[in-house]
Amino acid sequence: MVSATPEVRLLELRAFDFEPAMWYASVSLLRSGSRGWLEVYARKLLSLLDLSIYGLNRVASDSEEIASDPYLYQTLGFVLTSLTRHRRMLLNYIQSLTGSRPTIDKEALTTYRNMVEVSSGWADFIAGCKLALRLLITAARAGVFYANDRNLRMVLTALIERDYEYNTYIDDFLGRYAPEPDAFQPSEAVVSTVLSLAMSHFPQEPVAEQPPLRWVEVCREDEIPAQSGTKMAVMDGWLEVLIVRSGKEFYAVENVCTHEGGWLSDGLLYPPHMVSCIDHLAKFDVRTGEVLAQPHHGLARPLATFPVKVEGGKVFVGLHFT
Amino acid sequence: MVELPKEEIEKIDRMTPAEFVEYFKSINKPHFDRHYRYGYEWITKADRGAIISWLRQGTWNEWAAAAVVAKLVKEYAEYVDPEFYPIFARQVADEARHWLLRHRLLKRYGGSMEGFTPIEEWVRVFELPLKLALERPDFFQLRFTSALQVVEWTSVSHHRGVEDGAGDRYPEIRALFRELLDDELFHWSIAERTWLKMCNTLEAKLDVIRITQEYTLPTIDAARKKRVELSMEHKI
Repeated sequence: MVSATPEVRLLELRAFDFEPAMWYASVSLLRSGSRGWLEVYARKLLSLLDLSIYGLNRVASDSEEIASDPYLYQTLGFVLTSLTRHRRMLLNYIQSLTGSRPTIDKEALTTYRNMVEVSSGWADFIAGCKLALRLLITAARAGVFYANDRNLRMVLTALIERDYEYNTYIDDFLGRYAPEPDAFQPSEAVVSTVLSLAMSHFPQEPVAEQPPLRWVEVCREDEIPAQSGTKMAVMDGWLEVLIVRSGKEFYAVENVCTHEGGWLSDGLLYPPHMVSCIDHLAKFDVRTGEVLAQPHHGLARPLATFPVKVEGGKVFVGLHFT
Repeated sequence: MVELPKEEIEKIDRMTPAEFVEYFKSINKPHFDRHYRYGYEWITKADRGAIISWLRQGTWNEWAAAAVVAKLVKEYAEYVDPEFYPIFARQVADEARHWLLRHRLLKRYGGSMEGFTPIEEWVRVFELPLKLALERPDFFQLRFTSALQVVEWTSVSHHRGVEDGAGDRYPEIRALFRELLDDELFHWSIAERTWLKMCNTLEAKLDVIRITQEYTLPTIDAARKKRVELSMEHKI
């Protein structure tokens, strides 16, 4: 939010603050409706998935501390098995989209080798894996809400459903080497390595977003209090959205908190534009989905937002998929 | 305060956004030429210790550039044209790659980032874009690019100077700056694209001129001069 007396603290930027750049760019790319960009996007998800798998495989094979801890070793096995299944689903999808099955991703392999080279120890390396995985899930979330391809949305929904477990388990691995894994920041060398892979596919020219492909009626205007209020609605039988009214303006955001999955419809509205999750008090701007306040532990991501129009006393939400 | 004659203002008012971009480049050419000389003259005189010192600040600059762009999108998304989100993300990826390239070269010369503190003048360079943008939310992206992306344009000249000056004496520096230069041109083009879209009023055009001449160019001039002075003494 713009303040009257700005205090710009550039140097306070942390590694995971790069996630919003990934989110907003992925959203714009998908809202362009271009099949070409959809393919580029899917291939980049595969790169990030590969980097995460390579990285965590190294942890499994070379970290004596984790291999000697039954709980950690078992959970690492679960994460790797799960990521490998997602990888196979994504490979199948890309093959169906392009007609050919991707071979080994050399860019991801090179990035992995660079990460091994530049990381300053296990904590730094595992935090790099965590960053790669978080950027992957951030980008994948954009696909769930905006990709005009049902098959891809199914693949990505399965992936993002594991977000909570992945975060928890990776912090457990990190905790073997860093006393406060939740607050641990990877080095600039590791962050730069991951970012140079994660965002290199974005175009060098602006991408025009297209209008929604359809408008879905979600409620009557008078179902939400005139000054300010919220209403939860279910679209297409699966997508929960929170409709927010602020005076004459209406907004729609996904109803699931991006921190640990609390329902925003159970939370609080701070007019004109802020909603708060009741579980851990993450706060969001309903106009942009921006995270205005992080919870005390963990990290929330930007919320998905949807265009809203009101016609004839009815509220409609726009979707970018058919 | 930059004062322009009435006829000049009327001329600017009549310009299309594309004409304005060309006009901007032509009136600021002396600045850009100066940055070429900074780069060329510096590298022809630098010794190994000076290069290490200079690369330390340069490496930090790449991180700072990535950080300020990420912060723009993270905290001020509502003021950024959504069409530009992907282009800014691409810039973040470039800056991250530049960090790695510069750091690799730094290590090759026997240096490291250990104990590094950025020069205050360079901190100002990277704090300027958001500070200026926050003062005029209606010109947010216009002002942001009038600061950060114009610095990138001076970097195009500077890096060309380094590339030319490095010659056969420092082939690895010449190769690196050739690569960086191509990306800086793209980063500068973000300003061009923004201005082509948003410089459609006299007020917007005059704001770009004022911001660059009063803030951006003096700030980057001071930062580049200071870096050369300090690195010659191996003090960064």
